[in-house]
Parts: sequence; structure tokens; C-alpha cells
Amino acid sequence: MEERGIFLKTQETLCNALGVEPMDVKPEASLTRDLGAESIDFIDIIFRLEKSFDIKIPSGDLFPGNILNDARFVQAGSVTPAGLEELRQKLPYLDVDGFSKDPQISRLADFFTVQMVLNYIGDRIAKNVPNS
Amino acid sequence: MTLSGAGVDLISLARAKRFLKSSGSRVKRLLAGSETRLVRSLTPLMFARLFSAKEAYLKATHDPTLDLSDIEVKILPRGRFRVKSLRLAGRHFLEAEGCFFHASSHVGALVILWKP
Repeated sequence: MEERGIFLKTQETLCNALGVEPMDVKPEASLTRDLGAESIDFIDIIFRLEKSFDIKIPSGDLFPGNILNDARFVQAGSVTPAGLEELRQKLPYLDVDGFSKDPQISRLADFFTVQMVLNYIGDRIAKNVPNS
Repeated sequence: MTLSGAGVDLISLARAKRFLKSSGSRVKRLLAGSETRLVRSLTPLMFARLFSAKEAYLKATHDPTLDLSDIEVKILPRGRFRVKSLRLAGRHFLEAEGCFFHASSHVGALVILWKP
């Protein structure tokens, strides 16, 4: 599936999950800040992506879940260098470099963008891993 | 006993309804233990309660290894619930009690964890 096809299918999936218009689903749009996603929506997005692309998305593969609940990773409201490294390891599709410029934990959700989802799906399709 | 953690979560009933409709049988992946018996009769309100209780427990325990399917919620009378992890999480306590609250068209859950 080519890039345009992945984008259109992902866009449709996010529109259905979040009740937003296609014009709102731009690559740079944040799922939370711009598209209004809440905790239940992240699970809904995963389920719908699995259905749309016939893939299985393991827990924690796309969105971080609770990996930063460890006290080593967040101190005084900021993600520590160890936490940033944990994000790089566990979430290679997240723009950790962009986030690290001001790593306030309250800002992390802003970096869960449409582009992050596109990167993940594109990578899964390129690796041709339909159901793991 | 000392207070060890607290967690709160809120979910819109409309969102819960939409999620149940679209997820179908996949919702089983979020259920634990005895909860799986409810899957065929799960209403948006029941799901919203289970989900918010699990999320509140996750926030209270700060356990990064837990998934929603590792957490079992037992609904008690008068808007209360008991919640526990189904596997060891490296903490001294695994069970907690909480209560539900309703705000407009949302359902919320509050969990308090006590250390013996």
C-alpha cells in the first residue's frame, strides 16, 4: 500500500474514532490537543487500525501506556534523560527529540500526532507483518 | 495505615457507547477474570464504570507493567467497587476499594490505595 493510501485509510479511521472531519486530520495534528482524544479513544484507535489494516497492535507498541509511571523516568513534572531514552527505545515513532526540548510530562500527549500513527502503520506494512 | 496512592478517571458515556459499538468482541481484551462473563450483556454504563475504575487504579498504583486486562473490578452496592491486580505488581497491596461518581453525562471513579 502506498503512502497516500495509508494516509487516507488512517485519516478515515481517526475520523470514525474521534468524530472529527477529514480536514482536521493533518499529519501534524495532535490526537489530544487538536483532535480531542481521551484515554478510551487511544484504545479505540488501536482497535480500528487493527481492523482497517488487518494487523495486530501489541499493547504499548503505538501509545506509551504507563511506561513513564516509573519514578526514575519522571521527576518534578519533567521526563528525565532516562525517561527520554525509555521513550526512544519503546516508542521509536514518537518525536522524542522534539519533546526533549521541553520535556514537561504534561506536554507529552501533544506529541501523539497523526504523523506518529502514519509512521507506525507505514513501518508495519513495509515489514509486511499482518498479524503478530 | 498510610496513604500510598490515589487515582481518578472520568469517561464520557457517549464515548463509552461509541467505543462498545465499534469494538465488538475486541472489548474482551480489556476485561479480566470474572468480568469476561459480562461481555455479552455489557451496557455503556457498565463499561464506563469498569473502564474508569481500571484507569483510576492504574493511576493510583503507578505500576507501568499493568494492562487493563490485568485489573479486575468487582462492583459493590451503593456506588462502590473493589479492584485488584490479577498478577503480582511488586507492591505490598494489590487490592483497593473505590467509588463511582457521576458528573453530567460522564462517569468517574476514585481509587485510594492504603499501605498496611
